[in-house]
Amino acid sequence: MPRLTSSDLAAESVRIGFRQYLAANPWPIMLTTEWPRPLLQCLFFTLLGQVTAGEAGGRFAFVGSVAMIMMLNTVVGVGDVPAGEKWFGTFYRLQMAGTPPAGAFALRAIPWTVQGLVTALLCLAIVGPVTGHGDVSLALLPTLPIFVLMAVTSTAAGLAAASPAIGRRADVVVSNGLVYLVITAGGLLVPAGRAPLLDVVGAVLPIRHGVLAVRGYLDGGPWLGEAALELIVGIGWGVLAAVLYRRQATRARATGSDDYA
Amino acid sequence: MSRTVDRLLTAAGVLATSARIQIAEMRSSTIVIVFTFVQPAALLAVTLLPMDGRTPQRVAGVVFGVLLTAFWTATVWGAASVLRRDRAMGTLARSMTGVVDARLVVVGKGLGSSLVTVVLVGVTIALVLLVMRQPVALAHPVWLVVGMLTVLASGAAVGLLVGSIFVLTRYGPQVSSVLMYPVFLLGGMLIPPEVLPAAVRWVSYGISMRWLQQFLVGAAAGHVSLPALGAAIALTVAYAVAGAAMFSRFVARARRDATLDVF
Repeated sequence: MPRLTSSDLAAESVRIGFRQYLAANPWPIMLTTEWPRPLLQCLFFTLLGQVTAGEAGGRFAFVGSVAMIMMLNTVVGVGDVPAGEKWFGTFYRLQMAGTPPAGAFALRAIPWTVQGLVTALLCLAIVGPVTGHGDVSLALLPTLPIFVLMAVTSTAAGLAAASPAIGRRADVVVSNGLVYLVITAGGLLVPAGRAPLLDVVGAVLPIRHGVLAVRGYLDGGPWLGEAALELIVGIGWGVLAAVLYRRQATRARATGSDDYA
Repeated sequence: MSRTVDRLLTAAGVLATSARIQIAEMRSSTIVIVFTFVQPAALLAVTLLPMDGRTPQRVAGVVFGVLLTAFWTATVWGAASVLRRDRAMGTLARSMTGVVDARLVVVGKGLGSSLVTVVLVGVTIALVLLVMRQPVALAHPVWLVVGMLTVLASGAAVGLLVGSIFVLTRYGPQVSSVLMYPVFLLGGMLIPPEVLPAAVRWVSYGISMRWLQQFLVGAAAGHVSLPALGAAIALTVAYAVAGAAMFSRFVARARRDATLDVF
């Protein structure tokens, strides 16, 4: 049997990721729950912004909500990738394969990143026109590369958050906690400058700088600097995830806790 | 006569024991932290911080809106997780085929879950308001307690109604997650029905949370709306009756198809 090359292994990891995703979320479930939920969440927060701060508040909240709903997949959902190894007791096999777990998880996480982007596009196509922000949806189209960047950076943060939490049965709290932290401190619904403490916390969170870049572009102001900051924050979360999974793998080998128990 | 009293005492005992079990289970459930601390604190912050002109009366509307929103989240998620946990532990079939009516167990667990949720969310909201130094109007405390007791009963009735769906499906978490937002949007808690299109506005009349929000906000501002309380109680009774009928029907179906323990 020919030896698999690195690119074969990478392709296989991505393929497993998509099969794993579709097994957990078959098409009927995707159409009836996985897509409607982000649409409804985006609609809810857009209307909430409108109720609390008028038309301008609704417009502000719509932009933030489109970015926010990606995290349902890229932060909350992506935790299932490493958690699946615990549920099914298969982490030891990954260890035996010699492939770095962090790399394998990152590749298997791609479907969640893609799904996050798909749901953002659905919100632009449906929630924008429904809430009277169809013009904002159109204006956001040129910023899609920034949304791709945010989907990747938030996936890195989601994987990093899942790592220490899984063994302690705290993955739900940590991933949801991170999402709500970004919702509160990420400048998605609360304009920057309203609460200095939130601004300080938000500076190291994913999504925040990306959304600021998007708002800068919409307002015709500078945006490249914030986009670069989003990239730097994302790299930081990615490095943290790699370190955490590497440490976890080393410790699992030493202590025999392959299932994160 | 004494048999009736015995049956009532047995039912009360089952309700109390089920509530106690549910409270004990919630102590080891990490998702409770999300629904009772993280979500209400975040919702309160993102609603109050961008708001201009925060009067104590307007803040009371947000406070009860957040409380009922978090309560609805916990109720739907709780109904799904109770049955999912029973199924995973292999105790669902035993509950459904035991000598005690399974609906009492589900209602008891629902009451336990509702009680813990209301208390913890209330504490969270109080802490956030303290940190923000935000005054809130609470004009009629006694009527507010009456309203909160109705909230507890409504949560248990909805738990029975929604829980019956989870007897049939293995996708409880996904279904419960999609059930949350329609009520967030149409339930009149944080989004006033007036801002919704007229074509869907009428839906809120059938949601008890809408009337409870109206009653609680009114009582907080000094205007007790008994028709709103009456509507909430009537809907709660309707949920309980429909839930009891649906639950029996779905359990009979699951038993006939031998799918009670299929996970």
